[in-house]
Amino acid sequence: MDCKVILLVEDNPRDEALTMRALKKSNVCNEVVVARDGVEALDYLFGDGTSAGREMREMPQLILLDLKLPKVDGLQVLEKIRATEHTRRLPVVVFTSSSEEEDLINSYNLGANSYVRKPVDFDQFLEATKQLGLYWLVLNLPAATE
Amino acid sequence: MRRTVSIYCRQFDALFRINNRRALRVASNVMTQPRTSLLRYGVVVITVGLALLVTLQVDLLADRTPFSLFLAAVIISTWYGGRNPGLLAIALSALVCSYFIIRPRSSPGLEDDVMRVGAFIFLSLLVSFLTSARQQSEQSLRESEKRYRLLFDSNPLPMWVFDRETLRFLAVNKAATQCYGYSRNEFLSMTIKDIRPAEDVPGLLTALKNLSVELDDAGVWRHRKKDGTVIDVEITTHAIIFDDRHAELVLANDVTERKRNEEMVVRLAGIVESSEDAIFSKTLDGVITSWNKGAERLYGYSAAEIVGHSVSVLLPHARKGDLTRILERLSRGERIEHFETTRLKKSGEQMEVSLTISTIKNSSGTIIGASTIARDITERKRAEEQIRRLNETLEQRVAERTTQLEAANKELEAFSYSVSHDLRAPLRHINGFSQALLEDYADKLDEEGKGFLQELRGASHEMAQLIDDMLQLARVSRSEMRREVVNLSEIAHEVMAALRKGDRERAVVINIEEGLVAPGDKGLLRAMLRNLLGNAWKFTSKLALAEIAFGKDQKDGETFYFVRDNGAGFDMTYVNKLFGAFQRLHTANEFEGTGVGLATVQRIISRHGGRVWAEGTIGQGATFSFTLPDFIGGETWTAK
Repeated sequence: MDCKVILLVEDNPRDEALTMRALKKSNVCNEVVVARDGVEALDYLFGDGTSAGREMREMPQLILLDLKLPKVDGLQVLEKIRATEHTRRLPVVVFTSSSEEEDLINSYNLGANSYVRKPVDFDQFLEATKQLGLYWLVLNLPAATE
Repeated sequence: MRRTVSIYCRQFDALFRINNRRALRVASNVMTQPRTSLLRYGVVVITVGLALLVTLQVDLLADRTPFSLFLAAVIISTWYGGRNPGLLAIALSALVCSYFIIRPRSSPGLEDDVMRVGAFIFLSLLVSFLTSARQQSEQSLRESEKRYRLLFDSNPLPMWVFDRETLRFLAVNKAATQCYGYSRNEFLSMTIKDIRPAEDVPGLLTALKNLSVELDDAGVWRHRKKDGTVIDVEITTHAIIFDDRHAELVLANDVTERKRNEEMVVRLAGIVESSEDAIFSKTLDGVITSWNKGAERLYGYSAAEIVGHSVSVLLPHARKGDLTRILERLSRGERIEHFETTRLKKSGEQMEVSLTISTIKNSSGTIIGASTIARDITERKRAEEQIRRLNETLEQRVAERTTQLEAANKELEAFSYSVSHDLRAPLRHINGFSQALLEDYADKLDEEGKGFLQELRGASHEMAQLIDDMLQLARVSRSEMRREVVNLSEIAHEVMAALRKGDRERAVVINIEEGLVAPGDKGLLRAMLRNLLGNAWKFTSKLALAEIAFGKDQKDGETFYFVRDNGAGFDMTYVNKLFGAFQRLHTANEFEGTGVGLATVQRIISRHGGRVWAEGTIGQGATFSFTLPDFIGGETWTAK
């Protein structure tokens, strides 16, 4: 199985740990690249800053994007992804604490593929992660990156 | 008028004195027949002929007093035909008497016969003269009677004569019958008390005692007509002798209208005089002609001081020009209404007044002056100024408060957003790591330790629920309302379907009335029904067979909706606590919950302009009712 990268954009190390645990428990084998704020995420995607010189052919198969991030927030990251030719077709799942109407509308308006609220209960969290992995990494067919 | 009445009364008095001689009245009746000359002279021939025949038949008469019957014929002829037939009767009697009676009987003494005839002629002439003189005086009396009766009968003013002792009417004229509505006969069967309102009778009786013999101006009295109408009449009386009785001749003049007008004038004058407003009149040259008490108070001038002077003394120097303009407009017949200007008091102080000036016309419609109503509006102007200032500061204060509110609202939104994002994360971590401990370190924990970790997870779960409910409550209050027709039945079906899905094992009879629609915000109404039906679902969870109903009903003409269940119910003692946020009537052990749901329901219903109430009995279920008025007040609706 050709395991592509998952880009997890998450500033909170505890959430990162829980997400990694849940992904592992869901038998997701993909490499997970963690970006701890919006800038890091964009650097990774566009080969700038800390990610300068990265092999740009490698694009993540799925981006799990938190909204509330330091420096550049999740919606700005999403906007940039959709505005750039070689990233615009990447599947982006907004994975966040909030279920504010405003966040939902803005995310979909900017072209999020999905919006999943992180459940407080870990069993439900695990279930959500499993479903996400199954759908976006197995069932969903992404457009080929050039 | 009075003098005419006086003269009239004297003549009338005289008339009635003579008129009372009945015999004369009979005679005058006979005499009033019209006679032709033929009849008058025929009577002469017949009476003289009859006298001759009778005298010839009765010898004794012919011998002793041959002229006696002829004298009677002369009297009758004169009485019947007048002077000329009388003379003819004398001549004819002298002739036939000499020829048929005297001459055949007496041959010796011619002189004696001539003397007898001469005496007869003399006597006859005397009798004839007296009779015709008497007759003429009777004739003129008849005419005079006729004239004065006409004066009484056809007098345009009601008149009557009444007996001073019995108070009965003795005579009434036509005007009286017309004015009072009683026929002549009805009048003659009544007393003068009968044409008065009962309460006036004692006063009448007192007044009658004081009546003088002469002409009396009895003043204005109230009389009652046959139809009950009470009129005001001015009465003039005069004592007379009528049919040998002491009587009063009365002349009544209906002054109801005049009195009413007078009263109106008095009343109007009273109104003007007692008015708080200054009211005065002036000529078209601006000369003041009247000045009421209000004007005295307002301007400080007394009526005596200012009447006859020009209104220009009331105008401050800067306003002198007003006068010509106002007078011009008035002479064109225009009315000046609520003209706000400045005027001078006698003290020299200026004041703000509102003037209304209208023209005064005489009865032929010519403008002869103007009346001014002036009101001091200095106070009002001051109050207006104050209100204007207050309004200005009020607007400023409102603007400030709005800014503050907007800021507070923004803060609240930011707060909610932060709560939504940041408050849940630590809970998730507590929950997640507790679970990680349970999974990865199960062998190092005893059962109690595992139990504590489960409690941690439960607590974090509960708090997350609480946060979600609070966020919903906050959202319900600040979200914008959309107006649309919402199908409540449909929403109820959806909500119940979702609840059933969560627990398919339960036996629940669900009864939802179809076709319930109401105006409102669909999202909010859905949240409201989710809470109410969710409660019903929750509080019937311990029953073998739950019953949940949603429907519509009416009470006192008001339509309301209800959600009814047969579940745990509640104690009505605490009904007022039911809708408060974080208020719970059940322990968490019995039924879980945060106590925010019904607060949310109430918030939603009140935003729709309706009200919500609850009825329940412990163990027998609860009913939650709410209204959704067609017209939504209070909340600004935005078109969908």
